[in-house]
Amino acid sequence: MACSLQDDASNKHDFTSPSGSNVTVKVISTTPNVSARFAKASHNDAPLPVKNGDTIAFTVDPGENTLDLVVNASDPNCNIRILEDCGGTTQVLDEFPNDPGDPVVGYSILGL
Amino acid sequence: MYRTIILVVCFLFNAAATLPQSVGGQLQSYQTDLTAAKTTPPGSPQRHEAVKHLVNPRFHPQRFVLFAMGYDEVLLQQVLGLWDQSRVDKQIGSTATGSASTDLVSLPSTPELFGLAMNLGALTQSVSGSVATFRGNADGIMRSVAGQPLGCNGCTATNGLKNLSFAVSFDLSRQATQQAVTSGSANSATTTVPTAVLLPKNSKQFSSFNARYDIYNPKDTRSAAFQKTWDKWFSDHQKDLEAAGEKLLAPIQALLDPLFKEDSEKFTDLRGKYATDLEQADPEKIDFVLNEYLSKVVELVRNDLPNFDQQLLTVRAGYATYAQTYEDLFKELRGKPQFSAEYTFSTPVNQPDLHNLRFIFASNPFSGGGLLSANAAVTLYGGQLPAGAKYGRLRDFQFAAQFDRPLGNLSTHPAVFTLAGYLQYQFDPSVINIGPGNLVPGTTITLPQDAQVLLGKKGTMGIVQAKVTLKLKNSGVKIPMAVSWANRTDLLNATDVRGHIGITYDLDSLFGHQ
Repeated sequence: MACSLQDDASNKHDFTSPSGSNVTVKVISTTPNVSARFAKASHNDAPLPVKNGDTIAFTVDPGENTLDLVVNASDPNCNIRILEDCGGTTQVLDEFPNDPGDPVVGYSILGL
Repeated sequence: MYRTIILVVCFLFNAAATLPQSVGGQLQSYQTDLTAAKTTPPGSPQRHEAVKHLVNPRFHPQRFVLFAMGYDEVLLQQVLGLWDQSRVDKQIGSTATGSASTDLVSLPSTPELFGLAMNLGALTQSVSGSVATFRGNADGIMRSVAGQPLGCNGCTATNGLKNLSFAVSFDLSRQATQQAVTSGSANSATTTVPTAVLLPKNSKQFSSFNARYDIYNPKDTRSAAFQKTWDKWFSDHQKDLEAAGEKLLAPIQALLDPLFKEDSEKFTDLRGKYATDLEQADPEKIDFVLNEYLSKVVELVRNDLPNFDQQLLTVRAGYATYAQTYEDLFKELRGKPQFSAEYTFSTPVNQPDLHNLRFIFASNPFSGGGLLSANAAVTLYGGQLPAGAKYGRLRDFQFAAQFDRPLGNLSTHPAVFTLAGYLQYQFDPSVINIGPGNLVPGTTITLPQDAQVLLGKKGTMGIVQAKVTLKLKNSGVKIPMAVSWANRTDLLNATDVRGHIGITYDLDSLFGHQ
């Protein structure tokens, strides 16, 4: 299965994706022996169920989409990686230092 | 020893120079991504990734809120500051065997950045002193010099030093004299001219050097023990966190959705233009361009939201609620034991140098309602033992215990009451150094060369102490006041009752966490 989300070359959004695509997003920590979890996730302001503490799934709507994530990690100094699970393969959507003072990260996705 | 201290200090400041420097003002909270953007070439993929974070108000939205409010602070630092000020487990002054200490027992934690202490008195020693102590954490000092917050995000360069701290003490009351030959009378009234007088001279005021390693300290939010505890806590509190996360996301979405929905075309055009500009900008222009972009975004949101300022406060309240959930974690951790080891090199007045190795254990037996600390230590004489010495290398064993009880609310208590006991077994009487040119105490006999005498007696020394430590609200300043009773001191065999007073500054509160 091919990955759905693509970097937006126009810089107007974070990602673009064909509308109707089913997207699975996971969170991991790239720091060894550190776990990262989604405490909360929402797509277009609707709550998303979190599976196994680290996986969410949603369907891309036409036009503007927002994805908001609340990420926690066991080590405040670790690095967080947000991945798209493309079914057998993964692609890195984002990577950043964990910020326990601001656990929220959000993205805009343009559904084409 | 002195060379070692200088080398350690040089190493710390060298390492600090390699860390990225901070930016100031309203862009302070964007520091991580700004540094990444400025240190990568224009047009590179790394610059692109950093810029994506900078132009996205939904990415760590608190920084956009702080920018809009004109703040340069980070909420976590306030939370950590409150947590820090409520702790009773930090050792700042010198330890019991140092001159002028007000502490019979070494506590298990040290400041994450700097601590300063000024103490008057003595506990085990016959001679009281006035000692200034500078205490610091190797990791915290490097972060501070580099302008990074102590609750640092993504800082990995100094992890190996996070459990290492040190302290240097200077005895400000030490005085010394030197003998000088006179050259006759200065007036006719002086008929009897002494051949020599004693002049004051500078003395070595260095009192002690202390190095400590936290072997197990779950109160350190960067320790492996904390992470393990956090793992279990997250599973146990997942529903609570989800509820708190919902309360956090709701006001953020109310604030930012107009940008991404109703006003999306204006915003995306602005975002696309400035992202391209930032990707190509020279490093020195990035602050200016980002500031201009964020100001325009703030104006867009302000036009869409009539209650914009109120909404900013609501978002901050959401963050505070979420942070409060984490405070629960800290409360749970208050009950965990701590274990540290420390080495102290000291130079007592007119006595041989001493090496002290101390093990420190602490626990909270009453669900965080107090701290029980215990020490076990051994002291050795330093340097070469003189030929024919009537004393051995091993000077003494020490055991001590202390209970600290916050008076009032555990988080905002104004004072801490402390009861402590100390036992020391000394294998020989204390050794006194008498330098050449000095008089044998109580006589007019001038010593021709170095001499040593034994004073006091071997055996057990017992000390009990009661102490109240006043905490000046939110300042990091504490004033310990204590009274102690001892069955003897190191040089004298009589019982001894003394008062002690000091002032300590925990600069974690003043610098890193505010």
